[in-house]
Amino acid sequence: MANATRQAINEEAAAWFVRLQGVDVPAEDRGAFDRWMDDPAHAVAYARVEATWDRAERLKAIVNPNANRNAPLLSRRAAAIGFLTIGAGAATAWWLTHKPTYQTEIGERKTISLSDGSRVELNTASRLASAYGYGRRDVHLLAGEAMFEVAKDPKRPFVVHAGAATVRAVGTAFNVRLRDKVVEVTVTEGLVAVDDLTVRSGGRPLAAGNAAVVGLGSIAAQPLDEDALKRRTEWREGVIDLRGETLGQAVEEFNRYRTRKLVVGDPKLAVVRVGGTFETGESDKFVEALKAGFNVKVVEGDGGVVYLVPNT
Amino acid sequence: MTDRDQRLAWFKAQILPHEAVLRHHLRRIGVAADDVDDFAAEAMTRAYATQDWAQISNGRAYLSTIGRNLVFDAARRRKVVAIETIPDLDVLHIADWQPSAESTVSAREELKVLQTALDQLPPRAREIFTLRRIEELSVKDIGAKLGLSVKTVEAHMTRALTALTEALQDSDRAAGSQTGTTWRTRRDRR
Repeated sequence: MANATRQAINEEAAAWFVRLQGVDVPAEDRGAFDRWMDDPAHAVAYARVEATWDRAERLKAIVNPNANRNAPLLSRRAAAIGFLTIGAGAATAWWLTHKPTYQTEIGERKTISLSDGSRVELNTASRLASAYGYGRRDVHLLAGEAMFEVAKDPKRPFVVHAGAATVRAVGTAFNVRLRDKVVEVTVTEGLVAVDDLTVRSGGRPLAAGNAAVVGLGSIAAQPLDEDALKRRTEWREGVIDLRGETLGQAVEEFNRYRTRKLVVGDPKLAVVRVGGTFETGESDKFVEALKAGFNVKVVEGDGGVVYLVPNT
Repeated sequence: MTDRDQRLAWFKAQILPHEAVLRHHLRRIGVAADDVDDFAAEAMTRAYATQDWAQISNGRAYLSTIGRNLVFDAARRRKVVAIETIPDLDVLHIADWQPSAESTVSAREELKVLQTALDQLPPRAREIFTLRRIEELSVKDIGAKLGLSVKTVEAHMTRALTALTEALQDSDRAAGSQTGTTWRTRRDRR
């Protein structure tokens, strides 16, 4: 950032800080401030100004030795994250032996062109079977994760079956990931209808930019911002982008691409938050970063398991 | 306290104090001065935007990881640079991220920076900032006392606060630009 820009933002931040200290701040000013703060670069400048204000209190010590020096206490709120956990029936399909199936090994990624021109990109350790019929195109995701780019054919809907979820599309692009107990659907283009086998609501519409978690007889949909959307499909570039995930979650991601699985051997360590961008295949680099930045030690366990433990 | 207030409080307590350390490390691995500003600004912004900020209690480690990965990403994107940079990045990998006495501006120095910045303000801005921050008069009272409108007082306050913020930021940058031997790597220690 150029210095001039930096100074201009600092000045705006200072102006807001001063303005908001006033007694009666009109609602529209507060609204304008909220919008201004939506830009993290602005918020960082605002934090700086606040910090300056806090730190300037120490100037009192020069004027008045009895100055109150209480530092503001950081109140921390433990974020409670609710997880949807369900028991999705294991997908056993008799036709598996009869229909074309595609699969990837751990660490492998593969693009498949289906007979109708639709493209499927399979992520690591994934398995897919196609069962095209007259009136419809059925595809079964049996393991892992896949991104679908569906060729348009209004007469033959394209239906993905994954765990308890069905995703129905005409011509669109979306990502489906089988997680332990739920199925995660992310739509990047067009519109799909998502349904849960146990509910059969007739399909809940899900438009581009939205994601749904399907399982336990419920469908939880939420809009994703551009950034989150990009992250959901970043595996196609072979990238894992961590932004404050717990170490436990990060390890789960990396393990999808590893044969020698990582295990976090300490509950305190598992909840440490980590950030950074890594290639899916370079989890060793991630481990190195953990060793350096988080004081983590690696212990080789039986059966090729790699334990991460605090270095005490 | 709103969520944003809490996030700001966390950022001020956990991230902001480590900016100088981050700068120091970036310089140490040979990132050009201009790029240090960019990387540091980007790292600070990303840290602020962290979704689950409330769970991050080791701000220094978190910020350093962000910084490290920004450098990795940049090196990877500019493939030509990568060949030369990657060996240096090893240093970053194993760098000792503990803060040293030299890397953070001491409380005494900080007070000096603030005082100097205050002294260098135009007299009106200095007077008003002193009345507001040190004697804790309200903007309105200051206006009445000096015969100025609230708007004018606020303008002087803004000017003073900007100048002090810039001064602190520049002192952080100076601290971050030191090249010292206190920053050991594990390789050095062997």
